[in-house]
Amino acid sequence: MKATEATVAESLAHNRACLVRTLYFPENLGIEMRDLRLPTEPPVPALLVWVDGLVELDAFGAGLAAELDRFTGPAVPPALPRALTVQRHRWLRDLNVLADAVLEGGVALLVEGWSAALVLDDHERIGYPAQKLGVNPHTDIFTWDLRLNLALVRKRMRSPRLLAVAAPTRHQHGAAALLYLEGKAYPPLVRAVRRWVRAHLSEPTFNRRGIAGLPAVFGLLPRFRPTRWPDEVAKFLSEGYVVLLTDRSEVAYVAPVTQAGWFSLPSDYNLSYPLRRSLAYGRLIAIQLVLLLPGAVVALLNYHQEMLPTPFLLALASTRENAPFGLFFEVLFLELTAEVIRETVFRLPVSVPMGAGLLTMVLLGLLLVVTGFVGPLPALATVMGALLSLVIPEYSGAYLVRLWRFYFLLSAVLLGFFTMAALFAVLMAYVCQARGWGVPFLGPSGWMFSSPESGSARPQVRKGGQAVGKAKAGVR
Amino acid sequence: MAKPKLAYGSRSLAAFGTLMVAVQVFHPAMLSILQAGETAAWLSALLSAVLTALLVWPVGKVLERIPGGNVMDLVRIALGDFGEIAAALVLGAIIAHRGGIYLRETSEMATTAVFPHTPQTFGTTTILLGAAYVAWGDGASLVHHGRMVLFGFLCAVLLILAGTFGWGEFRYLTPVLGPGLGKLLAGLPQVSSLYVAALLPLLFADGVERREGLARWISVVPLSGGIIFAAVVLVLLIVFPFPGGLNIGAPLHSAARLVLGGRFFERLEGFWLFAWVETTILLLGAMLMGAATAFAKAFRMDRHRTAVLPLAALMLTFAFFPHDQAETIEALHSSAFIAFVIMIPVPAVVAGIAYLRLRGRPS
Amino acid sequence: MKVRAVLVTLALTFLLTGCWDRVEIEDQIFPIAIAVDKGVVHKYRMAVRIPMVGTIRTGMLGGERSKTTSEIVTVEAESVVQGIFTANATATRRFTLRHLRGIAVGEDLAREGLGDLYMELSRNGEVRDTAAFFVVRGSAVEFLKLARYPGEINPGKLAEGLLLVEKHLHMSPPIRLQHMLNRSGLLGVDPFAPVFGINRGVTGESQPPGTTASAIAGDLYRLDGNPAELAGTGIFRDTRLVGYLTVDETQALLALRGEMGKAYMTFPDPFRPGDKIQIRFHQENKPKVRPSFNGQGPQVTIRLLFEGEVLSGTENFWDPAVRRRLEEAARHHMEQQVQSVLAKTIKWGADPVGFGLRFRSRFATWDDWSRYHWRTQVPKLKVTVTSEMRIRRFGLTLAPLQQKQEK
Repeated sequence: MKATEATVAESLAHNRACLVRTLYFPENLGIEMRDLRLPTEPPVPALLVWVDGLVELDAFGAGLAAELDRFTGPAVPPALPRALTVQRHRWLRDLNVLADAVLEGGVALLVEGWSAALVLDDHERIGYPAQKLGVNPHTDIFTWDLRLNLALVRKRMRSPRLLAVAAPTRHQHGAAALLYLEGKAYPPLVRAVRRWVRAHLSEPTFNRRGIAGLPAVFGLLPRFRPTRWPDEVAKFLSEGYVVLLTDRSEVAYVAPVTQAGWFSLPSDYNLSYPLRRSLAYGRLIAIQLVLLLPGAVVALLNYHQEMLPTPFLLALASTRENAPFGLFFEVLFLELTAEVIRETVFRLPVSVPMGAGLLTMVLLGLLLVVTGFVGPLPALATVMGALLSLVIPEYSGAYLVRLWRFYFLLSAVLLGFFTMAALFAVLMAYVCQARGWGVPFLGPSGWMFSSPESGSARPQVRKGGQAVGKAKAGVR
Repeated sequence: MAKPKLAYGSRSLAAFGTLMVAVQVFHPAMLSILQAGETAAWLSALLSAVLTALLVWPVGKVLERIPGGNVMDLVRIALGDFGEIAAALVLGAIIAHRGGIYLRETSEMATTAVFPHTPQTFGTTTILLGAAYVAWGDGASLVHHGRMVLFGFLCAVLLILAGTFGWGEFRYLTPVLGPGLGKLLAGLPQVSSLYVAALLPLLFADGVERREGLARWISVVPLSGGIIFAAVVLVLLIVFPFPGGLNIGAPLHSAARLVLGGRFFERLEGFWLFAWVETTILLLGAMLMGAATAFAKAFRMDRHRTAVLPLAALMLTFAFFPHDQAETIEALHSSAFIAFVIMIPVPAVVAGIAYLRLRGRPS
Repeated sequence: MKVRAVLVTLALTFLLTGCWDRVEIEDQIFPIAIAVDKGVVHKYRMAVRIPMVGTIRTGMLGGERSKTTSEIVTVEAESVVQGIFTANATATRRFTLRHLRGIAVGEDLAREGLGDLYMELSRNGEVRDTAAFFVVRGSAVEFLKLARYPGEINPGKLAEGLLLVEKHLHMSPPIRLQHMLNRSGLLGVDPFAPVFGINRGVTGESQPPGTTASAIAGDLYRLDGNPAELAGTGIFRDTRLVGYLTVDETQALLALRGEMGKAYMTFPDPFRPGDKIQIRFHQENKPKVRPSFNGQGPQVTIRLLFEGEVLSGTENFWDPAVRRRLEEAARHHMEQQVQSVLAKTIKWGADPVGFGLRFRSRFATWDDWSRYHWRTQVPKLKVTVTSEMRIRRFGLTLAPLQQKQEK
């Protein structure tokens, strides 16, 4: 952008063209421009620019549009603010700063012949009331209104490169918006998601099924990672993911699904590198435990008894003397019960805390152990697994891991660690092969593999802008 | 969105290749090092690693000039289409045979040591199904998989070494020259057969996007594998002294049985069974995929998958050829030299011819 | 997609089989120790020690606590595995050797040679090579029947407890099966094992021995308690037991091998003839061994360095001369023990110290080493030992209390 272009010129048409370019108007949803004429003598053409949702034009001051309609005073810059009830205003000459101010929630007024733009700023800059919800406080949540959801994202992310484009769907009333960070998101990915939306999103999808529930790309992994938090969406966007917002849905859908998207949180950005790293490994270990613990208990007690320390084994054997069922049945029963309890807790009114479910699990496990119905070790493993599975913040991700642990349980009963290892190899191969929208699931794994070429086996979503170079075009 | 064919770097390829070579520490194949080198086996492991590295380096160097090419392209350039078909057939046969033997010996050892009541076929079929699934995917996934597993594998091996170290007596490593320098050198080709897996990175070299440095990283494969072999052999020699140590079927598994970290950490070989099976499946999967891609290239097939299942069936057949456990290990040893010559020096010669042919053409 | 579905289905049906080796822990019996003797009719007479799982309590769970936590089954069989099967005929559960923690071998069998037993145990996938290994003076079966350890609640801790005592007191070496398997062979080192004995004074079959010299298990001066006792070392030549070392000699052997931790030694008091004084001592550094060849055979020079602290005694250790004299007496006693060990083992043609390993490094190749025939060289071995004892500490008081009063 040339220096001359970056400043407000006296020609309104020029200013308008510059802003259209900077703010990607009109494709970029939410950006509003309105031409009007100030009723001065003679009337002067003017332009209002604002972001829909961040600003309610009618509620702005005492109704900005109405006030401008009533403005008759001399068409000189100092006169205009005095005629308005808006509390704060400033004059800007730089068009880029102006665009930023609009994205911040201001309303820009450009008038023909004026070499400065008036930015009106009404919203009170008071933060949202902080809800202390653990380490990861989400302060706001998506609603059923697409317009408002867009604004919520824009509030979090005030980059002029954040593009929200309308995605045509198969249903005429089903509005959808694709959000991505221009220059960061992988363009073929954006095109692919848009094509898919056009082909697949229809009324029943909107009403009955969640989008993430549509047939997966490859086997088990879903196409999208759903989220309800604007801050998470902002994090994904900044990392180059594409986000789909649909009308009448309080869930945003993030593509592609990657392990990094599942296992990292926005609050991780606040941590220093070693902390973030150790946290990542901690989560990885926790996930492995959730996956393997029930199976390992069965494998240990039914196949590899030599691995247990002798005194412990004898003590354990003494607790199982009167066990009514086989160990596999015990573990399976406990795991299924835990799943049912967890699902029940999810369906409870919000006012009942999650902890209640865990407490129920612990109490029930204790009761079962004391009554001699199950052994203490399976109960311990189940409660541990239930607790550990909470490290995956997102439900669908956690659910997949919890589902796979049943497969490992089944494989453990076949031939102990032998079959578990075989299944693990298959799972690893599957996870390595899995791709959503052409991006490997294990893909841009900044937190797991930090070697310089860690992104090289995949088109990069996260690093280095339009990293098309590593991916060879063409169908395999 | 068009599925992009994914590429990987030379270093990933080297990590993958290292794993493929080093996996054999779990297998009775290790015995060939111990038999050839006696108390100096660690030395022969290192020497043959250097020998293999010197032989694969020129292949990598020529491959650097052929973007998107692997060793089969070299064969085509050097020997023409019929040469390529013949090479694919020989490669398939050798890979199926060695894979079959690995398959058999793994399940044989598992049966002997851990699961005496389980039928042999269950072990072999489980592993083969896993390997076939691994081979069903694409090369980039496999290389990535190998790279991820390498870390866990190294941890597992180092844990065994650290855990059994206490049993050792360093003086069991003497006499330093073992069978004598002459016999040690004469045994090198036999030992080098353990590095046959160094051919796998040559087969998977087609996915490497940036070709510079390819030769260097490919020759790192036998070297790093050799260092792992030497470390394992050193510990095995001090824990199971020569000559008695030669008679242990799967020495590293026996070593895992000895790991003693206080009264609560002993007999943990189940953990290593996990690493053993996981990496064996990966090795067999890589061998299947390597042979299948070679077939696909030679016979101009669209997908390598077509060849995976027939090769797997062939592997299973070879797995049941040997009569017993001893014959399985014998089969590996007797075919070792031929396999080594075909898999490592022959590609080097082919690379030489290909280089001469390529020299005239613009690169 | 269809192909994959078919494959997955095939794989799943295949996995519906299986479970051959699955067995619940409550369906098994885990013998924790076996004793093997020469059999009368069959090759071996064996006693198997079985923990009584029901009597072990865990937290609030488990059975009623009772006095006996284990039982013995005695059988005769042609092999250990057959013996286990024979014992299994008395039970309703499956016997497995996966938690076999201790193996005791009777003297008669050990003197005949344990090669067959070693082979069987090392082939067996269930047996732990980390199991503790013992030789019993007399009958191992009788020992296992009589041994009653005070305070034993969980029999699984038995073998570990014995190893703990071995490592703490060094009255006998801490040896596991793997040590025995490794050292049996023409390697340049011979195996040795801790010795169990049945104290006939405790069982009331004879009077306690009348000597004050260092003893072997079975000869300790005891009047009651557990009839079984663990003290001394059994020396093997390859797989055969050739003789025993006393407690003091055991310490000397461990010192020669550089494996002696903190040990206790009682030796004649240099200041009060007829009395004894006790010290706790350890090796200040590894023994310095210099192997060499002379005309007649191999020759070794060893230098040992000990550091000790006084535990009993009535002298005033402020006096440097007293300290030197005590050091000299302790050194002299230790050197006597060392010489005694060397004289005995060289006479038996055994090399438990592992001098052969020191000579192995003098040969370039294995063929050269095996041509040297180490076994035939052992009786020609000449060993020169020099040692030094440094007494560093004297307990909480350096002189008897009454001496201070006299001043």
